[in-house]
This record gives sequence, C-alpha cells and structure tokens, in this order.
Amino acid sequence: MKATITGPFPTAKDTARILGVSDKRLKELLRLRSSARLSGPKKSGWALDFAKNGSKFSGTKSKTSANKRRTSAPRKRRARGKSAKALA
Amino acid sequence: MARVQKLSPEVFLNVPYDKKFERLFLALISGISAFGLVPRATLEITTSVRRLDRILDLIRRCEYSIHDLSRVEIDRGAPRTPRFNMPFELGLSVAFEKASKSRTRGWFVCESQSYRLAKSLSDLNGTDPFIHNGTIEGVFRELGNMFRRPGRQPSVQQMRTIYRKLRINLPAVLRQAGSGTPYTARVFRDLSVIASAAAVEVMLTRR
Repeated sequence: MKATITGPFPTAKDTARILGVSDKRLKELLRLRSSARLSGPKKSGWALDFAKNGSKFSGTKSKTSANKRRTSAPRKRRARGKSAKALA
Repeated sequence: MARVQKLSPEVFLNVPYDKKFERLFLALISGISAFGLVPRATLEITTSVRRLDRILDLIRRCEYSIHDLSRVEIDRGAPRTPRFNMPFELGLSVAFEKASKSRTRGWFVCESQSYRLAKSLSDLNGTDPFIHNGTIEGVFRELGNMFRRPGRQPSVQQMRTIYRKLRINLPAVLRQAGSGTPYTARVFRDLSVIASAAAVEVMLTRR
C-alpha cells in the first residue's frame, strides 16, 4: 500500500500549531536554525569550492596544485636558455 | 462562515526510544517532514491523564502510523524483558484502521531485517514490512515507498539535506532543553518544527 498525500504542505507555523509550540518558541527555533546555518560545521577548502560552484571541477585550481604542476621539457629548456643568457 | 482549511496529515511514530535508534529517529522526523506530514509520538504525553487514553487519542487523530518492530530482542536492563509497547500500539492502530470509515488511514510496519517479522509477529503474514536495514538511507528509501506526494515527491537527497540541518541544530536544542536525549517531549517538538522549516526551504524554495 502506498499512501498519497494531497493536503497542503505545512509551514513551520502550521507544524508548531499542531504540536502546541508557542509563537515565541517558534521564533526562537527559527532564529536558532538560521544561526546554526551560519556557524555550521567547518568546511574544508574542497567543500567550500563545492558549495560555491556546485561542482568539484568548476572551481579555479588552488595555488598548491598550480605549484605542483610539472613543467614541460620545452619550457624547462627555454627557462635554462634564458638563465644561461642572463648569466652570460 | 469562514472555511476551515484541513491541516496536514499527522503521522504517529511508534519507535524504540533507545540510543541506537537516535539517528533513525531523526531520519524519520526529517523524511516525514519532507513529505509535508507532521510527526507525532507518545513522547508528547506528559500530563497525568492515563497514558493509554492519551495514546489512543493520539492514534485516533493521526491519519498514518509507522511502527518500527526492529527491537524484538530482550533488553539488557533487569528484569530482562522484550518490548511489548510497539506491537501493542501497532495492534491499536490496526484496530482503528479497521473500525474507521476513512479510507486514507494507514499503518506501516518497519523492520531492520528481512523475514524476521514473519517469525516475531506471524499474525501479520501477508503484510509486507518496510525493511530499512537500520540505516538512514534505508529509512528515506522506505518512506519513499510508503508515501507519495504528487508534484512534490521528495528525493532521498532532499530528505538527507533536511536530516543534516536537523543534526546541526540538535546540540543547541538539547542544550536549551537541558536534555541528553532527543526522546523528550520538548526536544521532539522543537526538532519537528525545525524539520518542518527545513522541509519548506528544501521542498518549496529550491526548485
């Protein structure tokens, strides 16, 4: 059996009314919820990138990975040449 | 005369109140809220009125009930006994459903293990229990099998988002209530309201 729910989607106020939670307490809870969202658990750099861009790959590469990038052989040769000229 | 809008359906939660079940309890509150339903539980019963009368009252007003029979083993505390409350309340719900003229009233049985219900409660043979495997994902999956909300069918991911929001707020709610467990009337009500607010945010504002 699968129950089909057709009633209106309850707001937090509706739920509070059903459960007998006062308006004052409801306000406190909503405030608590929004503050918890701001000071939620610490996110790693990757998670922040993910939250910001919505994808692991769409963010710009971090400096660390850019530094780790291997230099290509021609680039290395060019760099050597320039430094050799500079030394001469 | 002003038309009174029908309130959203309430779901009676008949679950074990133990430490091991805490995560699943939060998952149930989150998932139920995602479907636009309001969770109710015997935890809310605090007055001196006879407990059984209040339970009956609660079952009577709830359109749906979810009964978790995954704690059929004997508990550790002395004297060692099995827990009869949950099968008893399931029986009450079944009786109400049979006596009720409302076609929408429904009850669902959950288990963590397949085929165990056939042994522990053979009277329900022919009734398929919802096996959640004792996991949060399992609870969300089975709630999706129990309920259907046309147009706004919540996904497991959406239920998980609500669950995460609830988990973030849990320590503050417990601190404010001076409680170490979510199985108290105040904490349960607070969590249900927070889950409802989160559900509105997840289900209605994020398209």
